[in-house]
Amino acid sequence: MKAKLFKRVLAMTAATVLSVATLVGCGSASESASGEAASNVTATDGGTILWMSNLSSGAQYDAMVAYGTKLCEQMGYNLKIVYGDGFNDPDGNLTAVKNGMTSDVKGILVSQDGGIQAIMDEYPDIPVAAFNTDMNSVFSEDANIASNAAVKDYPNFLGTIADGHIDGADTAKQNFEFVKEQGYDKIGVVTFPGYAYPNLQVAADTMVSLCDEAGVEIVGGVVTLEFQPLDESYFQEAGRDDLDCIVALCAGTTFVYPTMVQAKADGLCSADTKLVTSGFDNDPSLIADIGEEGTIGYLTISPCENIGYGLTLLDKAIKGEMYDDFVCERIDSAEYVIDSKEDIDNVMSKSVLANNDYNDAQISYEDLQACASFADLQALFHSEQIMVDALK
Amino acid sequence: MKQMNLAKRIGGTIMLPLAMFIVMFIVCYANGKTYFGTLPMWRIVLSDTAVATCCALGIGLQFKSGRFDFSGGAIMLLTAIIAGHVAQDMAGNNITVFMILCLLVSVVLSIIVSLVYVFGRLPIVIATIGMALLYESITCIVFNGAGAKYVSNMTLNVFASFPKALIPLVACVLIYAIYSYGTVTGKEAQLLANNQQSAVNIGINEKKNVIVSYIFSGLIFGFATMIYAAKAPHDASFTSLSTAGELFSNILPVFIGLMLAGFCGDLIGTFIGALTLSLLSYSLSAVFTAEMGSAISTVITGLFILLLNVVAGQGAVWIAGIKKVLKNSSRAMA
Amino acid sequence: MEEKRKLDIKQFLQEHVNDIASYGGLLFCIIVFTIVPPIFGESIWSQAKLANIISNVIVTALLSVGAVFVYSLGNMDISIGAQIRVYAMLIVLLGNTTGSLLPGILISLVIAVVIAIVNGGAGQVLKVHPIIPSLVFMMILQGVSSIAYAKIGSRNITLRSVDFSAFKSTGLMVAVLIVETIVVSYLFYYTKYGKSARAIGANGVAAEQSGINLLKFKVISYVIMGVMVVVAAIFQMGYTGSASDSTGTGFEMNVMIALILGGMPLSGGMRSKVSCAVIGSFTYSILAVGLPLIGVPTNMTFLVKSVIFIVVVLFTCRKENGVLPR
Repeated sequence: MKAKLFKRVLAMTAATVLSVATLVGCGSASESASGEAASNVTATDGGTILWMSNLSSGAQYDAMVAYGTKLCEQMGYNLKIVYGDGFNDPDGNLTAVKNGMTSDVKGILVSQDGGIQAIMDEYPDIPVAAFNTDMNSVFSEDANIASNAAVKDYPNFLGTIADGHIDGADTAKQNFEFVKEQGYDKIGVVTFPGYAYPNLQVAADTMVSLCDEAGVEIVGGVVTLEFQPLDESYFQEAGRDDLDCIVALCAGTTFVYPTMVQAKADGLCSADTKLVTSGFDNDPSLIADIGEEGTIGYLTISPCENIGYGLTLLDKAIKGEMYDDFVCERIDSAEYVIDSKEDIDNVMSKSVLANNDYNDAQISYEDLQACASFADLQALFHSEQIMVDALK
Repeated sequence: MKQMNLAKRIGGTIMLPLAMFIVMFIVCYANGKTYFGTLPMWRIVLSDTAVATCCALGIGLQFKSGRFDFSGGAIMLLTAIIAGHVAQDMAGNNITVFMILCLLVSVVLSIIVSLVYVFGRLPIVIATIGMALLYESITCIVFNGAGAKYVSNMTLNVFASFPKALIPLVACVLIYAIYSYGTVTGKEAQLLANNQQSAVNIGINEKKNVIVSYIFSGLIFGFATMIYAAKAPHDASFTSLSTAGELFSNILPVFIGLMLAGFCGDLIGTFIGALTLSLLSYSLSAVFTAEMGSAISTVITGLFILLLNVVAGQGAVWIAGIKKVLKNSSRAMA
Repeated sequence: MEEKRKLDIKQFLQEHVNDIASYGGLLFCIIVFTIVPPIFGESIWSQAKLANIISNVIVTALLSVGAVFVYSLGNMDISIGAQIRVYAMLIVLLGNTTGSLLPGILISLVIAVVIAIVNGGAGQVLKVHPIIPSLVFMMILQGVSSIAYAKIGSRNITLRSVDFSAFKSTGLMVAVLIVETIVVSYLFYYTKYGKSARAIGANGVAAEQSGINLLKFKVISYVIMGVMVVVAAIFQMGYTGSASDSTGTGFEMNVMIALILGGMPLSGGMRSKVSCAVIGSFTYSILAVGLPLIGVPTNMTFLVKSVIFIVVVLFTCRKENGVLPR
């Protein structure tokens, strides 16, 4: 009995010591990691930028972390990442920010808009900027969607740069241009639900009307995916076994491409059917299948340098050096438009998106510092400097 | 007499999927989906059934021994992440390495769960919840929390579709059958499930039995992971017990299997249950738009499960009642 | 005399080692996060962080306290998260339509009672496994809420014309939690409802043979929990004034973890305690808030929480002798 009690006390003591050591160790390990990274650049004593990311992994996430961390260091900040709610739930996003908040946080960078008003009400003195999100719940004209519309007037809200086009109609027009150029007359269109992505609904509707006008047939109408990969039964519907292309307004590389390849192998889909979509996946077999001869004929990707737009606005706000012509608004993003083998090869060998090397970035800290006005900053993020052709 | 019993068994086994097929055939054709029942449809349904059956067998092997195991989903996720990334990044996309690692990692993780249960002497639910939390937390750390996203990897996702999806399915069925009917451990597990104290009193080594059973369920989960990883992308688990959803969705065929066990045994019953639910899911997705299809499918599947359980629980009583009424009315007429 | 005192203390420790371990988990967290964060220039006892802990814990604590009744039966309810989703949606929708939260709350209460009656009674009446009705409700409510949000045309809905600022008040949260804990404790320890629930969890056959109406007291246990789920839904919705199609995801698992961490036996019975709910909820919340303060990266937080969970349950739930626990 005595021995048992002694063992229990010993075990509890050991567990306590181990846990405390682990906790302190975890804390100091992360400190030294950021310390090492900072040793080559200016001291990061300007505080912390808290980034609420909508991604927790993947090629784009890794690239944004690598580029964003270095950029922050050059600005004089640490970059701390918390993961927003996987479903963009307002309460989940707010909880993530609150749990990650420390006294040295000077600015908040967000990549999704759920709960943005609650976050800004919770931390009214901290500037907030966004990137890779269209902030529909703030800027939309539709009252059903604009649940955070009040944020537009908050002095500390700095606007956003979207992931691609803000207006779904522009996305549709861009994709339709490719369809027309290639002379396709029989296509499929796949998208995500409109209640989750209103812009994709607009894009789908615009695609339908453009195709109607031009006499291009959308076989079987627009198909909506409930965040599940496209099912092979899609190709069993009449007329879909020999489409010229599928325009995937959703993340086609994940949700459509694998099914297309499988369907081709099963003989359900023509070997010549192309995929027109957006998004990046660095899987080698997918990369090899992009281009004139591959399944993916047209791919658009938002550059990971977009994080620099949000960080620059935060830096200006924190230091009280905001541009004289600053207006809180949302802007389109530039895009890598990849429609050839040469383009994808250049992206894979020369861009920070594929290499996670800050030195490959197409927008450097010096470029951002050189922007004397908000107009200059916006022009930089729409310049040819950030296009895929600049990688040649 | 023997022939009638066999006919009754076969009838009882195929009644459920046959009824589902007929009903869904009518529903699909009424909505213009005339590809229902074609060979390509069966290929898709069978590959969906394969993944559901494999997961269900892994869960069911422990469930029928009285162990409600929450760790299966986390084991599959962590196995998929480790095996897939090693095969993809370090072994040049080698499918053999992927398969071996799936089995190895899954068995090791399952053994660890069993050791925590056996030597920690924790209630099984608590032990498996704790290990599920631990494994989920490891998924956030390994390979930078990349998750298991191999749907675009044409080498590793070979098990996503028919006929290669049948390989893990056949393997899981064989392992389950060998365990249940061909090993002493399986037979002892039945004794332990029926009366734990008596089984221990007659000399069954419960600890050894548990560890061996987890080795078998680890093998089954290993094969299940090969399809699980290929079918859909899986993020690392940043929410506590998010993988428990795998348990609750894949336990449905187990329940159906237990209901049909009287006709065909729980093994075939589980397969039949997975087949029935795959037919239901396929048809509802085909008939309804995607926005509604998945939601309506969830609702109808839930109602179907309730109905099935009610009939299974009360069916005998109702049939006896109907027989009594018929007997009384025929007597009255006489 | 001194020896006798030593023996008394020893005996007390041995008899209450499980309670000490579960309280010890909470105490350990409090001590560690009092000592360590100041090293990093942070404090968990700042007003902001304390408010953060309370706002983090309130929904889980309210749910867990109510769930004690159901868990003491030896059952579990996995439809809690889906119920929260639907009730939050109803309160916001009807709040925007009528300008008051009351209609939404009342309708949610009615639905909660109906669900509770079915959940509690179906197992007994229809002879199905107790988890089946809650699994079915989880699926039905998830499907219904997805359809509703698709029809609304948005993933999030927000209160527009109702002032919900009261629900952000830390004082109100603490007050409601205290009141709920007192009410549930009274029902659990001093009324036949709680005594019967524990007796059923301990041995259903013996309880029935001693005259306890299993159906009645199971249903009442689920109804009590159902009412608490609605209260929790009000606070879940109230902090941000919004509801979404993913509100409530995983809440049933949070309740389970909180109760286990607090030392609640999942088989129910006489060792069930209301304090388990409060202790477990606070322990988990303090970990969630405290770990980032000491610089633990986001992806490591979960690992630390799971290790602490395992350590605590090894002390609180370990069965010493006999066959392996089920």
